[in-house]
Amino acid sequence: MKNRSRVLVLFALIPLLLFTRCSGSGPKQRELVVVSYGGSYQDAQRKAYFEAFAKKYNVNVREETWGGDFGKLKAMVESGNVTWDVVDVEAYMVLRGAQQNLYEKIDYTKVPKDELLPEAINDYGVVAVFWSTVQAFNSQHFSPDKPHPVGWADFWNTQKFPEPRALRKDPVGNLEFALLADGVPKDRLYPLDLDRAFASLDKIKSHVKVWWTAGEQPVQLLSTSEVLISSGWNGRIYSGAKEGKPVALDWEGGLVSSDWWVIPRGSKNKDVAQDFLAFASSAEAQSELPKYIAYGPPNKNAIARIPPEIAKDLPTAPQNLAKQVIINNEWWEKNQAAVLDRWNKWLLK
Amino acid sequence: MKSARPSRSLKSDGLTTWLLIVPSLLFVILVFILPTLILFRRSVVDPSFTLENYARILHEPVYLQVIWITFKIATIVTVLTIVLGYPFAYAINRTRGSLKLILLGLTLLPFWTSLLVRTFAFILLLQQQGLINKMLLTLHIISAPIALVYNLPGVLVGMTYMLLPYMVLPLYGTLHRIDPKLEWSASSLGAGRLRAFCSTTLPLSAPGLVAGSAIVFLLSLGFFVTPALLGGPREQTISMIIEAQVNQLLNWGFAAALSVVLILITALFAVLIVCGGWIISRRKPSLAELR
Repeated sequence: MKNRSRVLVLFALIPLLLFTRCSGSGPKQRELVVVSYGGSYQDAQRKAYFEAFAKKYNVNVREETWGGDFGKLKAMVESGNVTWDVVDVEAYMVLRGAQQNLYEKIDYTKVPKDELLPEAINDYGVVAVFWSTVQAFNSQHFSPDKPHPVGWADFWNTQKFPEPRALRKDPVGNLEFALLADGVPKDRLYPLDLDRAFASLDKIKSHVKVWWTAGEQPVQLLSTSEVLISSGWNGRIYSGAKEGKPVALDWEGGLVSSDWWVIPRGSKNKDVAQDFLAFASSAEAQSELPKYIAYGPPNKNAIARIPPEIAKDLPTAPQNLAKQVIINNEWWEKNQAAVLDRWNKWLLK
Repeated sequence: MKSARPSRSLKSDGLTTWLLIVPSLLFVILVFILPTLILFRRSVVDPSFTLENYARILHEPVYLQVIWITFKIATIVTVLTIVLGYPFAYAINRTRGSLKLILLGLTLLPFWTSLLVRTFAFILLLQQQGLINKMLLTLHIISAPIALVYNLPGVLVGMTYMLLPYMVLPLYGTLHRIDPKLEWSASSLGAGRLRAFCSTTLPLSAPGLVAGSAIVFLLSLGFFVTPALLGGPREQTISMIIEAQVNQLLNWGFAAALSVVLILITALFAVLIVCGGWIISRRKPSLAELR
């Protein structure tokens, strides 16, 4: 019957209808899409920055989260359809992204350049926070009678500390820790001696029970006693301890890194984004953040304003900074690809 | 009874068929074939017009090692899903009514939650202080907790669980259409239960088995979250390496080359599976012939 075949043909054309798009009208209020890593970190940023900025500048701030999928950012910029205005990225992403022309230049007439620490400034990004990878441990297992390991030589000492341990499944940080454990002084770490680092890692490999990948994992692993010592990010450990979990950290041998704000090239709300960076880099905003999470701000005036009882838990506090190493992002940017190959090979051994 | 007259000529029948196929064909070309061709192009154009990406894969042993591990895991998972899935599909086929519905529902249950949530749930179950270890310790089956996660068994358990429905459903579909009287008549001719099963139901279920194995094997080649979270340092799959190249190193030319290698090996296996299925169907009588 002819009618039936006609109907069938119509059904076949339905997939084509899926390709038509409806257009909507844009919002009248100024918008800003800000992207960060979620969890307790983004909660803290919301309280210190996003809500205050939205109110002060009358902007509709929309938040999104990401897990650092740098590829997504690159794809977005390359396709020209940029939906993010401000993104919180890891330090190596600033250098690599700038090389591949993924960002807008920061407007330093708005952002208070002179108030920021010199390490916190780049043509294409500005530091959001300083954070550290430190050694963390289960605070119930260790006590004054049973002292916890201090520094990476202790972590490597499986006789004195036979407890199960965890490290991040990533060469960044682990190579520095391996060299510190092997006795390299803090000020002579870079350029990293790869052969010596991997030889040092060989000694600890079979004793590492878990290689963690997600930021919250060390807190979870330590709380459930799956491991009793682990590397971890200081902010997460601090928040976990505040929530009552049996975790604590030690600053000795910590690796200070940074997160940066960038503006993807082609962002639709560039001007609002620059205003946001100016606000988030100001002393008044930055002195708020450490109240909610233990990360250090780059604004010198903000650092001076933070009360000592909060400051003592920040990686940038002078007494903590003295025990740590600051990561060399330029070295990692140049060498990461080759190191990653060698690291993967080493993991498979 | 009035005989049905031919409704249309053969020519317009072909046209209707084509009109029905063309939109979906266009869709497949647009979202699959075209991007795959772009991937091929990227692998030889980025960073410059050379084959250096492929040379690096062959030159650096770690990549071939990882590809080997990926295929090893995929093979073991496929075998495990057959061993666990076949009895289950057979059992579903033998039940009736509400029990059958319940069992089918249980098969589909893994699809109701996201992959990531299920993977984390497995960490909770399998870890040292997890439910399984606690249960085994309480029952005195073991005296110390065993390592069930962050190693190969953890990955196998997780992946087998996720992929079991993909084996059970095609198998059930084939078993469903096999006449139960065939097995019965085999035993009435004197064959024991096992021989009756092996000579009738098993060969007839071959298409379902091949289809299920193909789906499970090819899907496990692409698994990346489960081995990353449940596995140890030696459980590195090629998709994890590709992810690092795409997401951290932004080396898309090399990632494209790795993907192309994975696609080619996968295509090779797909061809082998299809040929194998064709050979099996030529040697044993098909369901159609038996009706």
